[in-house]
Amino acid sequence: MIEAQIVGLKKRYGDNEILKGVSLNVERGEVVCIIGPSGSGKTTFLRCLNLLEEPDEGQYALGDTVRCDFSHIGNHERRDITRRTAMVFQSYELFANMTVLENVMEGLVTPRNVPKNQAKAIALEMLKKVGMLEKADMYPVQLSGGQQQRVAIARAMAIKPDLLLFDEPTSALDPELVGDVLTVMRQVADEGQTMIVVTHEMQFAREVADQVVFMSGGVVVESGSPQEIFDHPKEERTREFLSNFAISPLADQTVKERREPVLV
Amino acid sequence: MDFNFQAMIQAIISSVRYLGTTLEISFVALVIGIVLGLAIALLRYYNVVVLSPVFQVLTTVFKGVPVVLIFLALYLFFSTGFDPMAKSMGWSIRFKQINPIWIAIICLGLMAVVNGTEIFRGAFSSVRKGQLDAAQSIGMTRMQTIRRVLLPQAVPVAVPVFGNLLINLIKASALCSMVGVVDIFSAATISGQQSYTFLEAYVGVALIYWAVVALIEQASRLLERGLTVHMRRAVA
Repeated sequence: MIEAQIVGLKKRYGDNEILKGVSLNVERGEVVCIIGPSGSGKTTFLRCLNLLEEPDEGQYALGDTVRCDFSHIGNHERRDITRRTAMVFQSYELFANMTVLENVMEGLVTPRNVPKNQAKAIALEMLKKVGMLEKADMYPVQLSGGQQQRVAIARAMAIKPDLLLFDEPTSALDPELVGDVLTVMRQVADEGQTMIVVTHEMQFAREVADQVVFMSGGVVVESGSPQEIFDHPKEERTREFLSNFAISPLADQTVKERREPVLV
Repeated sequence: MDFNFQAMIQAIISSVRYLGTTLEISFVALVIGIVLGLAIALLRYYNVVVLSPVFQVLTTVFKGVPVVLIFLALYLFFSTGFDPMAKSMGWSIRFKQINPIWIAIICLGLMAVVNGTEIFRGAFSSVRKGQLDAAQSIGMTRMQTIRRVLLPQAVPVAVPVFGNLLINLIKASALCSMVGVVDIFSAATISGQQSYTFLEAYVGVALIYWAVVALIEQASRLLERGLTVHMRRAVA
């Protein structure tokens, strides 16, 4: 079943066309990893999907309810889209004036009017999932980058989005903290959350993604299963890009096993 | 030259009675500055069409003019232009009936708005913009984001600067005598004129200004500490 369908998405800044008609189908529960060189429009594409950027053209279907055309989008559809998607940012962007718990509750309490005690229960459950329960009363400034990012994931998951977007979630982290965040993301994926991940973590893409999309120059160059993209890329540009990374090949049967959560 | 302490005390006593006027003008101007300054700063922060550039120009114009000039120009406008304007608009109020304190408040209010806008703009820029994206991404509206994310982080930054502005307003309020308002400064001058003890009167009124300013500085420091207590990194 299709969770999200994007057809012919275009985005311009003045004369500069960043996205030149990007299409993507995402199945419910699927993990899509978008890879590609910097400046290829990956992040812009992701930001278009929850309207942090306004696309100029394209059709967007999300869940069972949102069907819209970006060239004439109404306020009602706009609200629906922002409410059904959530995003995890490269530099976490936790609210500095709130505790960890308040950060996770905020999306429920303020825009959705969920009663405080109910929101708190959901938030605590999410914090437990990302292993940050014992830090619930701390402020973001007191946490490490990896911890902040795990809270940001909890904040995004708390609103139960149809589509969870990750914008290079580990790029700003110290190398030794990357593992914790990736582990949490694997676990989120295993719970059946539909997600799109813009990443430079090829190993993660290879092991966790159901679909890998290679973008370059504002278009999707190639997409397919991790095996197709990493082992048998059809396009020259894909091969060229992947040659910059050392990705250890995995036997097919180990791929699914590796998706077991490692988090305690 | 002898310093007449008796005259100084006399000047303090007679001018302290007008402390209320000085404080009233300064505080009302400050409130105007906070309210309108916040509104204009928000318009400019979110780059609202038409209004944002208009206020940018106005801010620049008023920032480049000494407050004395604003006092003189506004007084001149009121004394010569107000009655004809009121007549043509059909208002029954005339210049003589206007309490000059309002002219003073408008002048200092303008100064406070210009400064207040800049203070809030500075405070807003201390808030990481990505947090606004984050707020939007979890479905918060612009107003909700302002109320829950932007202001709680900007206000603690702005408070000490507004304390400073209040101090500047109190000192600038000495110009009120130019439009016929009796504040602590002009009261001291009057008292000095009576016995030709100008120096004593000026020192006396300076002491009052010092005391008031010291109090405000202390209060703003306490307020700042109370507001930022949770944003500081824990020492542990």
